Parts: sequence; C-alpha cells; structure tokens
Amino acid sequence: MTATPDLELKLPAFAENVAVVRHAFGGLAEVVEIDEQTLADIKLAITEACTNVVIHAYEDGESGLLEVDASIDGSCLTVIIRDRGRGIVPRPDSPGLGLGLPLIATLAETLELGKDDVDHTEVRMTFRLDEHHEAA
Amino acid sequence: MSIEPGLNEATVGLAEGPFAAPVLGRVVGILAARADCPIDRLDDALLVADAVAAKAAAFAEDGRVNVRVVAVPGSVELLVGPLRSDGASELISSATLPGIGNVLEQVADELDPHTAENGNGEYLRIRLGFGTQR
Repeated sequence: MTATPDLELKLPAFAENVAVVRHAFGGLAEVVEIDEQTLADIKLAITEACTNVVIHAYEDGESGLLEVDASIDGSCLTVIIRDRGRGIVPRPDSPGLGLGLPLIATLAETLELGKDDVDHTEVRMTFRLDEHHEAA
Repeated sequence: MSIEPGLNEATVGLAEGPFAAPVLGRVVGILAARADCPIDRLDDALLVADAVAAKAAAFAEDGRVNVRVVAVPGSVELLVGPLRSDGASELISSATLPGIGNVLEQVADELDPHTAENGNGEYLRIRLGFGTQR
C-alpha cells in the first residue's frame, strides 16, 4: 500500500480499542456491497491481528500505538495492522495459544508479516470483497 | 500527530468519499458511548461527525478528513485538521443547512479555530459537553 490509504486509524494499544477498530470496519458494509460472512471473516482477522499488537507488541507496562491502514482497490481490501513494538518474536511465556496468525492466514486471501520503511512491525492482509458464501 | 496512550482517543485519517461518514461516525460513537455520553448528545456527536466527514476534506491541506477524537467523562472533542489557512472558519460556515441553520454552531458547546502550534495550518476544535460538565 504505497498511496495514502483510504482509512488510517491510530489508537493506544489497549484491549478495549480492538473493538473500536472492529466497529470502524463495520462502517465499510454501509457503503460497500459485501457478503455478511466475508465481513465477519474480515472483522475476525482484524481482531486477531489487533489483539496480537495489544498482547505481544509492547513490554509489560509499556504504552504504544496500534495503527491500522485500509484501502479498497476494486474488489480487493488491503488492511495493514502496524505497531512500534519489539517485532514478531517467539515468546516461550506467551499467554496465547499461538493460533492467531494461522487463523488470519485462513481467513485472508493473502497474509504478509514484515516491517515498514521505518522498521515498524506490520501485518498485511488482503481480502476479496466479491466472494459470496452460501448460507449453511 | 502523536497520541498520549491511556486516553480514550483515536486519530482518524480518511479519504474523501463514501467511507468517511460511516467510519468517522462509528469511531466517534463508540468513544463517546464509552465516556458515558447520554443518547441525545450521542446523536448530536454523530451529527457533527457527519458534517465534518462531508465537508472537512474541502478545507484540508491534504484533501483528506483528518480528525483526532478525544472522549472523556463529560465531553467529546473532535480536533479537525490540519486545515488550510482560513479553513477552520470556512468549515464552520459550510455546515449551514437551509431552514436549519449552522449545525456545528447549534450543536457544539465550543468551536475553537486555532493555528497549529508549529504555525503550519489551522485546526478546528469542536467540543460537545454532556452531563454536569456541559
């Protein structure tokens, strides 16, 4: 995502702000024709990525930012979740089950982990908005 | 724009277009609700968010809707900008609706156009009070 994204959101990396990000993405459904299940998948993947920032990005007691960029190009939604923390490193003391990234990989069309040009950690996801799921 | 962690706040940057109003409205709504904003003022806050989303890009330096939202017990504030020179007053003027008047002036408790601390551009601070601190 090199151009200025359609949506930029910066919040303190607190658990309660994950809901703010989810809620903001719900606004997409007000203007884009999007399958309900696809929107649920997008929200779940974003929730997992944001939760990773809240839990893992910053040392205990350290405060930091949760940054979200999103752009829509045709039927493709690109979302970048960024933090300024310690990066994606193995944590023997991790409080999680380690299922977040595999879940995101399952829900998203593509998933990339990396750094931006100023060395901030990024999780980059793309989603197809024109997918339609059959009702169960 | 830096953020002081710990506050009930968010910084939103939006391209001009159909996303601006629903996304900004949702961010303002959830932060205001978290600050125990009563339902009538929540409605007012969403009205302000809609007006800002619709008009702010035209007066912004970068043609986008840039808003910092800070909600504390008793008030919610929208800091809109950076705006171009005279953009803050023009943004206020643009919120006039036929037969209704100026939405921002009627709904907000404070409208504070001011120059950025570094002298680059203007900001419009819109404050909506509620509860005992209104």
